[in-house]
Amino acid sequence: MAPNSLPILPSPHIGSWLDAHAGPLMSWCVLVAAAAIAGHLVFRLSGFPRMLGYTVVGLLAGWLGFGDLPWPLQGNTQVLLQTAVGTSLLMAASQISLSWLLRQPWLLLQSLAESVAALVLVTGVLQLLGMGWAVSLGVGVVAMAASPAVLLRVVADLRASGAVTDRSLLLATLSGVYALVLGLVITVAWSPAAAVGVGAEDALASLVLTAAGLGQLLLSLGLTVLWAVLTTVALWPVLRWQSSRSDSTALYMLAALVAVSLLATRWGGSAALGFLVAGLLLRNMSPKPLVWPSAFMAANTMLSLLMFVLVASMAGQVVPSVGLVSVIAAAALARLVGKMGGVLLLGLGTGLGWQRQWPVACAQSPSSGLALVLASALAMQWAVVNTGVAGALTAIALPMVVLCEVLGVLLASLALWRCGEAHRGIGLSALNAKEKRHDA
Amino acid sequence: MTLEAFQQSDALTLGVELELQLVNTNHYNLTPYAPDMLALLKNAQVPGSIVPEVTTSMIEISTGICRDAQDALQQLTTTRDALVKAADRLNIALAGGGTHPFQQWHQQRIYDKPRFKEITALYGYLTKQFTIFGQHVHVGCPSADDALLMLHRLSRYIPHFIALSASSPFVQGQDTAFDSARLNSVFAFPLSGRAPFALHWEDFERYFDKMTATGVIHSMKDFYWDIRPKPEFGTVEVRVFDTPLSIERAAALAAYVQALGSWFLSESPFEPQEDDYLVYTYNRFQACRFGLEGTYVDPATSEQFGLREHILLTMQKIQSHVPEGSREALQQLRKTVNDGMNDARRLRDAYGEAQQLPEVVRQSTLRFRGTE
Repeated sequence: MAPNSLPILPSPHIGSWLDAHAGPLMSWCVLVAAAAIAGHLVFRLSGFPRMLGYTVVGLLAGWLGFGDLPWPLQGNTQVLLQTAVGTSLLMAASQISLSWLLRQPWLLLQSLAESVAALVLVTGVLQLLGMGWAVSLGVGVVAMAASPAVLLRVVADLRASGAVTDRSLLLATLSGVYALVLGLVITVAWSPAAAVGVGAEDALASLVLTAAGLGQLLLSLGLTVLWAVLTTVALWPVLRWQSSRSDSTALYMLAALVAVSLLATRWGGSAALGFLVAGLLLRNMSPKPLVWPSAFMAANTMLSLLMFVLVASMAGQVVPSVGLVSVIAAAALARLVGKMGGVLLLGLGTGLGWQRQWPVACAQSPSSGLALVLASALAMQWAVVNTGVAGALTAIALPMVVLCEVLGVLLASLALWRCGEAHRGIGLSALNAKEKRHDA
Repeated sequence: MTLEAFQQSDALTLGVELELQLVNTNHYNLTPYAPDMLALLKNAQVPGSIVPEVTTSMIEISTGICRDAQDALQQLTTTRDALVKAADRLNIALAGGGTHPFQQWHQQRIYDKPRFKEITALYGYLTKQFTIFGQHVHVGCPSADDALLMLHRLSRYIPHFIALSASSPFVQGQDTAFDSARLNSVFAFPLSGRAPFALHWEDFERYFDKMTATGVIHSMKDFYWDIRPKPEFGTVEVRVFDTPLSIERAAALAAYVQALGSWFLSESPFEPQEDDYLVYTYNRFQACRFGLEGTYVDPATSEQFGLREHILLTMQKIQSHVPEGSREALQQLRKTVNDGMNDARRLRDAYGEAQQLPEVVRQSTLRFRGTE
């Protein structure tokens, strides 16, 4: 399987037809409009977050052949996704107080435990299913990442706030840090054994540490730090300026983030990790609160819409088979068990009671753009050496990401409602029950 | 329901209640952490109590019975330190101030407690708009009649209390031009304002019985008066103070009430009249709007004073009634009056410098924890 072509289901090819007759931009216009309407309907009728609608439209788009997107992600699509994921990571990381976190060893332990448990369980299950070390570990790293972007959208749509909400976002962001660092190490310094032919046995290759990769790793880490510093330097003055709430500030910020994404795409390093580190630096280099322009938040909402559509449309192109479905289901289940088990087992001592740990655990189940970035980076790097490994990784990771996204959004929403931190006065049923009042 | 009997209490003992803001440490908006804070503080060894308030971003603390400002400050310090420790664990912060400068009332949530749900059912959105923060000071009275006398005498000094404690210039992100905008929210409640003019407990009981017979009220808690008797404690409760930014100022304000009470009990300097209330609302408005720079119309002589001048004159009169343990606190209070520096001005100055309300709240949290 070539790296830029996934197995395609027999489909009506409406997307390809539209691409050919009206151009790819028109396809995207149709797609974005459909996603926005579907999201609105989902939210209005069920009260669940809009992203469920975006995901459904994305899956359909993938099946109908919209967008003509390359895999692994390249060019503008890659920059778009890096910026969308990075913006959410930046905002989520800018809420983490490192000094507070370092005084909470139990919390750090809990965060490490849930991420490592997801990695180990997913890798172990796939290894038991005979997928080979390279594919198993690759999917394991993708599974480590929870989704700050999903949580930010769930929180915004359900107007959630409180200890569970804050803790959930914190753990999701920390798991993103671990996944991005480990992803960078594995992508750059390790490589699957070279392909011997074009066959299923190639997908069972093991990982080998390459001597050249170590130098490359140091370079990538250095570049990532450089992107973090650049982002911080670019955003620091405007987030501290007294009049930083203007629309022009938001435009400037977006331009800066896209520019850094472009630099990372061209020169290497991880833009997403760079944005995340920038968020930490911005939050912790001064005690003064950051004031985000509302236009920037709106831009983040739109970028998130594109990201959710993109994630689902990539997965929508993968051929489902009974064997593949069971492998994906097993990986998703292992991920869920790992994440929930890690949070619940080490919940004591983190300042939140036992009953409040359940919703936090549920909120770690979504997966989305960050996981897609990791999967794309792994597929891109490994396809050069072993296309079988890259293909198998893609075929498992992409549907798993979408499955976890949909189930995760449902679980996280229900958990936040159940613990009383999310607003219930949304949706048709709430309207009928007269709950859309101030006292709902 | 009949009014319960007025309990015995030691004259001029004090009790202080403070309603406090729970704020996030990222954007410094209000945050609904009261249930988690209360769970962490369940077994805390504090002198008074820590209880929920009407919305989940508020918490109320109270002292036990205090002798003077020093005692009140000690008790408040113990409770404050326990609160700060719990808040640190949850990565939130506490702040004083009569209003949160930029919270949006509709985002607040009612605390899950039957009484708060009942209040919401009756008052609708007013309950969420009641996300305001006050200090209540109880002063012990030797008898029920003394309590009513104390209440109506203290009424003349309501503008003093408002101007000294004013710390709510910002509401919903705007400078209101008031020093204490908090009391405007209280006025929306039908049973707010002043207590009826009754100087004997039997008269007050009759009034209470008539009101309960109408079905409008069920207990003393339903009255949102500026000052009200608290029969179960044997006290009079002054409720017009904004929660100050620091516990030191809270203790000093309590000491001021105590010293006035001592002056009343020992010298009976004047007899309260129903006509005292002719200028009550005007004086109250002046204090809310202009703080220490407001004007004060003496109810007895109709003479006009600057409010700051009248407070300083009163402090002079009561000086000999200040107990040893309150002297330093009242000296500090007098200094702030001389400087014209109430908390409202402090908050406006902070905003003038930072130009961002979240930074103003952050500075308030530092002041509350005693590190600024």
